[in-house]
Amino acid sequence: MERELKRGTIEMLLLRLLEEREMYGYELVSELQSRSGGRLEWSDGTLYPVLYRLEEAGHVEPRWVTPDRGVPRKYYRATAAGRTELERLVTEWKAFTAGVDAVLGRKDGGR
Amino acid sequence: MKSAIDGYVHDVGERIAPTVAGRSRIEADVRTHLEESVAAGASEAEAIARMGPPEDVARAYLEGVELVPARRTRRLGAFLLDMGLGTTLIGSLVLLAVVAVNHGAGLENVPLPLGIALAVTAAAVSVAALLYFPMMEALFGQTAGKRLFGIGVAREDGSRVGLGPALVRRIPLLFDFWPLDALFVFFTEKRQRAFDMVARTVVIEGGREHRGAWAWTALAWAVTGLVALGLSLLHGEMHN
Repeated sequence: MERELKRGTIEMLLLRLLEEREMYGYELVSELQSRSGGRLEWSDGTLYPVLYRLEEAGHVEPRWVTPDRGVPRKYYRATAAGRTELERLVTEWKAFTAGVDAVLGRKDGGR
Repeated sequence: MKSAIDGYVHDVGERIAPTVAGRSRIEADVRTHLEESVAAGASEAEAIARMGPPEDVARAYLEGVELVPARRTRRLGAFLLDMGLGTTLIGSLVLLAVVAVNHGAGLENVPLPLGIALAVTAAAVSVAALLYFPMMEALFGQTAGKRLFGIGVAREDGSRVGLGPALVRRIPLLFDFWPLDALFVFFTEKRQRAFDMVARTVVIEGGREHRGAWAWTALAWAVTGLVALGLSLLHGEMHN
């Protein structure tokens, strides 16, 4: 179940981070881990297919930055369409978790 | 010297068929990510461990990729070009052999070293002809003809075709039932031949068709025609 939950929420979480500011790949993974208090961990390698999906959907856009020193970096930021999509996903998530909590909260199983 | 990052990126790429769209992008992004991790203080081994097994990275990437079955006209063009190249090469070698034998005024007068060389060449060419399709598809994901027509072979999940499946999908060519096998292309959802389905392979769009692809195909068959003409003239000459 954990795997499915991660798959179902990763786009929302990435959009949330990229709504705040643009970030590059390694930074995204580090932020996810630190903000979740270490509760959420992804293999770094599964990040990019998700970013590609978001890019193809027009929800994020990349740009390469080549610093004077160091590794060239590909930064991502949320687009306006991405922000709209984030709102929709968050609304869905809140409704979903409220429903799950409501069911879990009933100890008598509804009888 | 190849670094651990080079090796890891190579391992990811090896699990994706060469003609799958965006393969170089995932390789570049994985490399950049690993270099960023190392720049942030992780060792190469730690960065690679965080990335996860290369097969998982490749699989996650392929799950989001749409494999577009190759257009039937491109497949036909690629097949005709490959066969044209093959018959040109084989026909030219046969022509050279006939000229060599003719020059020696008969097979019985051919010097032994030349005779051995001709026999070995004939055997090598036969083996190469049999293995051309599966070897090229296993090593590069495409033959010369497929490359010019912008298509390639992959497993159904987008991963690289190994030698086994590449050989299996060519079985119909060995036993002359390839027309029946080819008919399946018109009736299957992924435009697979019957033995594509057996081998679980699919021919996919993998780039732009070269502008001169059909011209090259016509040229290959024109040269084949000239070689055949040369052979028949020589044959006529020998028997006069």
